Amino acid sequence: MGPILAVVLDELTHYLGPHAAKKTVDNIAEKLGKRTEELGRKDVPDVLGALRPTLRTLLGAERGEEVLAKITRELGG
Amino acid sequence: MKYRALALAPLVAGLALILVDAHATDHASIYAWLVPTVKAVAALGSIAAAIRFQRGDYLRLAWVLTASCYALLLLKDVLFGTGSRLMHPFSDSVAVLRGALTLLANAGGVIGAFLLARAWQVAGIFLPGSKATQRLVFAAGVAVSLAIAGRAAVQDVRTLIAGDPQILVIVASDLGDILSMILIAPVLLTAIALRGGLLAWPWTLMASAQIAWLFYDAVGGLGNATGASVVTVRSIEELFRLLACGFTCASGVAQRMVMRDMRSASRRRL
Repeated sequence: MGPILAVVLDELTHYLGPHAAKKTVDNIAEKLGKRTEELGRKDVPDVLGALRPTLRTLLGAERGEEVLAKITRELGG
Repeated sequence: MKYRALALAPLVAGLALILVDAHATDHASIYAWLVPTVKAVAALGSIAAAIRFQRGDYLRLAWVLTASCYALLLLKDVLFGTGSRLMHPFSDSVAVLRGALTLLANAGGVIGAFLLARAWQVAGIFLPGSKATQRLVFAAGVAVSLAIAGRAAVQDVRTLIAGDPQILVIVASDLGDILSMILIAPVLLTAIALRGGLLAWPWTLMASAQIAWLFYDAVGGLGNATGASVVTVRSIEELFRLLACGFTCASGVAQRMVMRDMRSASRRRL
């Protein structure tokens, strides 16, 4: 598992659980035309953008953006 | 640990009610304060969740409507006193007003439950099982709802049409219950999809609340079928009402805790 994927999955798993987190990331990768393992640093903006509706719906806009910001920080963005 | 304690709280309260009920002689006076209290608890838990969200957030409206449902049901009890499906001690005009408030409350409750039930779709998360399995679960939810509350609802509507306004509050409750119970399946599947994550707690507790309401409705029907005494049926009903309201409160508090925990974690890193 690449570092990008590990950070995203770790943060998502905390809230969504391992199954929903993995399925969500798999789905995003599929939409980007890639396999999950192929997600790289240049995909980060697209991944975060795709995660936004999920997090904003379940945690609210403010908290959702906090999680996205946290992922960005951890990825050194 | 704190989430487990939250989940256990309604069960402990239910156990306490069983013990109190077993030793009580005047059950009506217990229910006269218990019923408004559990509704107030459910409303407060829902408000706790709602105010953590911002204006425009999808789940804020769901929690606001859930809170309004319980608040209106509480208002009905405060204004006109508590009653039960088994006893109708009200004048016709009061019965109509109670029925109108119950109808309004249930409308909010059903829309709130609908918003919760389709949150998975809005959020873009995947429910467990194949599409066919999900459809089967949804169909089972509809079948169970109609089996439990459908026949009673038809009978109650007939009684209302025949000119008995006392039954209006029950018809309003029946319709709200049927629609809410149909929505149990998606809420339960959402809870299962989120298993292992913090967000599984509010969804599991909300599904528990909806299942407790389902049992609340089932008790009335089973009571009629088994010939159990009104006192027995009422005490079991009130137990499930307490559990339903308690789990609703716990669900709202859990949603709030998930959001607060996240905020603390973010602050620590800043």
